[in-house]
Amino acid sequence: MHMFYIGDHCSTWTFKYDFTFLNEQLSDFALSVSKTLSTTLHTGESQNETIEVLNPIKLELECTWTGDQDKLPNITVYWMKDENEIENSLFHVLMCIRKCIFISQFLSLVVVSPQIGDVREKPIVSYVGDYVVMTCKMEESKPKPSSWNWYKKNGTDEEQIFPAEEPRYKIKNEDEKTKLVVHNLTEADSGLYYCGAVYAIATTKSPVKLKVITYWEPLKPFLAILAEVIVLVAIILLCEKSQSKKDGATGNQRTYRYSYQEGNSSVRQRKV
Amino acid sequence: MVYGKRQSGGVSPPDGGWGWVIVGCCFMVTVCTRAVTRCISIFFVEFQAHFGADYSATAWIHSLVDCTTMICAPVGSLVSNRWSCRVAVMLGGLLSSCGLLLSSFITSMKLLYFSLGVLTGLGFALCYTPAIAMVGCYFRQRKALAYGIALSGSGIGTFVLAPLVQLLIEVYSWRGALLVLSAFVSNLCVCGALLRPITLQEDEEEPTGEARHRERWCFTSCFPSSKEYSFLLLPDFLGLAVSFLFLAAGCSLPFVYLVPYALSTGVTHQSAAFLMSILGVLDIVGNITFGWLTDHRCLKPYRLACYIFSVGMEGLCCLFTPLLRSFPLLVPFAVLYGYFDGAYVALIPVVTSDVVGATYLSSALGVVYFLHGIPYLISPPIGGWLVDITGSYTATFYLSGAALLASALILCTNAGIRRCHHQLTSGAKDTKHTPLPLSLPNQSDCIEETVGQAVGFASEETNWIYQH
Repeated sequence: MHMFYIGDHCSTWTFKYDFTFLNEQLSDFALSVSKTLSTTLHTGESQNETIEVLNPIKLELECTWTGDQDKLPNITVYWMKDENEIENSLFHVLMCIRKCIFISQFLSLVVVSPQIGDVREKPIVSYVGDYVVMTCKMEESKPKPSSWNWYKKNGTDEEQIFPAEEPRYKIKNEDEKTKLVVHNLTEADSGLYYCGAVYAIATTKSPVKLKVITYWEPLKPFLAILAEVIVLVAIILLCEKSQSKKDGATGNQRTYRYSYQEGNSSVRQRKV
Repeated sequence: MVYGKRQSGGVSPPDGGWGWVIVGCCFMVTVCTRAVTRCISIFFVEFQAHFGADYSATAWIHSLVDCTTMICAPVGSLVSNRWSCRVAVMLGGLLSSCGLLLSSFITSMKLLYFSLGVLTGLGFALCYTPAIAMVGCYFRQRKALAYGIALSGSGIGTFVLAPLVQLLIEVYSWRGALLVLSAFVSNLCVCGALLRPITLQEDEEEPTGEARHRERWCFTSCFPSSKEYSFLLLPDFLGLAVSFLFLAAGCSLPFVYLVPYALSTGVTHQSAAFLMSILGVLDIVGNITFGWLTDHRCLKPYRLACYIFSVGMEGLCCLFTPLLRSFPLLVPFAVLYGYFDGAYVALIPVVTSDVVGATYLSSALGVVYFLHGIPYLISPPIGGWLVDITGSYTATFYLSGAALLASALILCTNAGIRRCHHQLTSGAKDTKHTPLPLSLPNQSDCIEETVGQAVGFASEETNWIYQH
């Protein structure tokens, strides 16, 4: 436990975090994933931090008074987690609360495995009898998972999909992305699927929604528009035909057609 | 004898009335062809995901559609000359609709190239040239404005169709979206049905006796006769043709490489997309306003000069692009480039019809758009190759600017030479261009074969009645 003796006023606190591997023997591997995050919490602010890690980590939180060194306030700093004061515990996640009469600041920390950034909100649509390809991609900047799994939501459970058991499903894994191909779709295949990026600390899951429809759905607007086209074309051609018949019968010329002199009209009528 | 007394049998371009319906139809044709072509690129992500193809394989589809539409443009003008614009557009609508319908059920990428690339492209080609030629028949005084409005369809259509196609893909997936799109494209048949044929009064004097008309019913021979394409030998047209080659080589590059260039200078994705929207909107504005401007009495004799000016300005904009390295600097570029792009697109048919005359406009437009086809296909990959080897977009934009300026220069030189030539031999010829021989090949033998009537001219007349 860290104890500071500081003066009356607290203005800024600096929190420094250092990640190292839990097992001391791995320390020579260190720092490919270590991150130093320093953030300044101003008075009265609270902050949420989400930190993504691969393996269980040792987290060190350090509170430093960065104000005027001569004016160290005379109060005690306690470390607490979830309302309980921590006494030299082995908890890996710590929170820092400065207990002061009129200010409280806290930091809430969530330690997770790397999260999948872009989640497609709209469902993937496909047709009965067709196949569908669902993809999940881990961002380039984040560490690559050791493998990928796929799950289908069944009621409240998530069942893992094993392509060996069901040849309808095929999983293609690459380092940073995965594809689930489902052949011979039926309407029962609609629902929620999850792709899981497997890390030592946990498996990150990301939802993908699938919707299977029949061809009748798009056929409705298709037939409607086609009917409109056929009706319009029929009307136009009939109008043209009736008007040309009218012109031929009466000998009238439309302004856009011929302009014959009077003497010829009788000749033309004979031809028609 | 009928012909001694008969007038030429045509009317002068109405410049209104049914002409505006034709403009509306051409607008819809442009929406259904050019805008749909641009919206096909929205399907790429879906095709890539479904078929596991990479970006370049899917990008070929768009190039194929564009290229087929342009290269098969002479086929469109051939069909419209042989039968009528109405038949050509309706056939094209049917073909492209079938192509999209087929694509909706396709199971492999290779077949997609055929159904979407070739079939749909051919259908579009059959529609595009006849519709544009038809506008030229119906307008003379306000030709540029009519063309401006008609051709603004590609910009406005893209604006409206892009979010619509995106929505269709979200709701019905790409198969359903292609299905609905094929129904939308079948509206081309409605546009075709409205394209009422018109016979034009000939501009020049006619030799007495013989009938002169554009409609030809030579079913026996499918190949164009040499007289139909005699405008190809006009020096004016040759100069125009060469300038179009350079124009097409230069104008497609900025559209393709503006967004990557903007991203490389540090502009955000959203701002880069905004630049493309600015280009699109200014395209529409340029179409309509430039068309309206060049119809004014004071500018009409200088239409070619206006065209050369707009192409030259585009070239200059491209040359300055490598100096613009931030979003506030790229916005004026997008504004100017978009405006002049719309301007010259509206003027292409006008300038062509000024050179060859309304009689041959259909065939001439077929050749003009054919000349656009190959540069459209090869210049974006060449631009991409330049980016790869030089590591920056400067060379690509310089190439584009140089091609556009070369196009403008060729036309300038051509006009200059013609003017000097005419001044030297003044009085002998028409100042604009040598009049084309308006006597189309003797049709009496063709008619007898097709109609089987005894008297050649009388049967021509009867056919004329039934034609209209």
